[in-house]
Amino acid sequence: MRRVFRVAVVEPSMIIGEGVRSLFAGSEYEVVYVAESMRGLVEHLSQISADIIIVSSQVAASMSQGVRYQFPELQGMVLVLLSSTVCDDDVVRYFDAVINIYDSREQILRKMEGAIEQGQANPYSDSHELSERERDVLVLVAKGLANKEIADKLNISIHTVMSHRKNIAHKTGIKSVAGLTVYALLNNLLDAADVNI
Amino acid sequence: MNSYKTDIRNRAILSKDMKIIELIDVDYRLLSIFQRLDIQLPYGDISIEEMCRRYDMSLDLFLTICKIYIESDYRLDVAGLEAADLSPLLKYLKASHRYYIEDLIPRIAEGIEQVLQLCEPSQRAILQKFYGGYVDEVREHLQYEENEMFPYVERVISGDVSSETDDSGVKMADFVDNHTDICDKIDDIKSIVIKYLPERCSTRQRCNLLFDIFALREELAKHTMLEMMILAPVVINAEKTCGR
Repeated sequence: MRRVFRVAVVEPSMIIGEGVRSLFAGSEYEVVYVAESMRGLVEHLSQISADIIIVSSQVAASMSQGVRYQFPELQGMVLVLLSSTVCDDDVVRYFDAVINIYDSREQILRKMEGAIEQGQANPYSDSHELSERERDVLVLVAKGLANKEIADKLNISIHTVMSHRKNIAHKTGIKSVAGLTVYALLNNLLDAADVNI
Repeated sequence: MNSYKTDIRNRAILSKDMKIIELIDVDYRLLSIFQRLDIQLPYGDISIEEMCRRYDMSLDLFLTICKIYIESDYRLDVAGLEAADLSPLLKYLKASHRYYIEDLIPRIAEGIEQVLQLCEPSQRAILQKFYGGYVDEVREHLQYEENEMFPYVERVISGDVSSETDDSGVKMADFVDNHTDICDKIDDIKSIVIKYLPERCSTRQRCNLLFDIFALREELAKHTMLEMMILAPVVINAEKTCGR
C-alpha cells in the first residue's frame, strides 16, 4: 500500500488553504487540518498527527525566532514554507523546502518529495545511528566525490547533501573526509580498495 | 582546602605575590610550562614575582600564559605587553613545538599501535595512515611558523622592522590569515577511539591513548590562543608604532 503523508496547513487565507487541500487531492499527501495561526495548529497538534506542516510565509515572517525554536513541538515533522512573495533568507533557512503559490502542481509535488528527504536529514534528530541515506552519502564522501557529484548520483539537491553531511558529522563526531573514510572502513561500509587515504 | 586565594566563584586568583607551590596547586598542568620555559623549580618558597625577576621574564607575560591555561574563558588584555616582552613567549612556543613533536605526537602513535594490536591488519593500517597524515599536517604547520612567522616576530622584537629596513611588505596580519586549523582531525581521532574501535581493543590502552589525545588537543588549542591572542596583537601594535 502506498504511504499517505498527513499534511497540516497554517494559512490565514481560507482560499489559499482550501486551494492547497484540493491541489493535493489524489496525491500521496492528504491535508488533514487547516489552521489560521501557529497557535491554532499547536493546540490541535496531538490529535492530527501530521507528518508535514506547510506554513504560510505571512505567518512565518511574523515569528521573532526560527520556527523550530519557537515551536519545539514540531520536532520530527517536515516543515514547508508556502510563499506568495520573495522570502527573507532568515525565514527560509528553518524550513525543509519552499513552495510558491504560483508553482505548478508537478513542481509542488517534487518539492514536497525533496522536503521529506531533507526533513529526514534534520539535524534536530537525537538518534546517533546513521540513517540508510546518510550511509549512502558517507560512502560517496569517503570515495572522494564532491557534493555536486553526490547530489547527482543520489538524485537529491546539493542542499540536502550538505544537511546529510552536517548530520553525519554531528552523529559520528568526525568532520574530516579522511576521518569519515576511516569510519567507513572500520564499519565495513566500504572496501579499502575503493579509497585512498 | 586550597592553599591559594579564590574569588566568589571559587576560581583561583593569580597574583605576583603567590608562591610557586600555590600556583602549581591551582593546576598541576602548569608544570609543563616551567619545563618548557627552562625554569628550574626553586628551592624553598619564592613568589611568582621573584621567580620572574630571576629569569628576567615579564611578570605580565608569565601570569597571562598561566591564566590562558587555567581559565577557559579568560579575557585577555595585552595592554601591558610590549614587543620586548615577547622573547620568552617565543622561546616558550618553540619549546612547545619540540614538546609536541618529540613527546606527545610519538606517544600517541605508540598508543595507537598498542590499542590496535588485536585488530585486523587492514584496520591497523587505516588508522595509522590517518594519524600519519595528521602528523604530517601538524609538522608542516609548525615548520611554517618556525621558518616564517617566528623569524619575523624576532625582527620586530629587535626593532629591525621599519619601512626603511624592510620592504618585503610582510605583516603579522598575513600570518594570522594563513594560520590553519590543526585541531579538527585530532577531534576525529578522539571520536574514533572512543566510539568506533572494535570492542576487543583493550579499554586500559584506549584510556591511556585518550589521555594523550586530550592533552595534545588541549595543548594545541592553548598554543593557538597564545599565538593569536598574545603574540599577534602585541606584534601588530609594535608594527603600528614603527609605522608599518
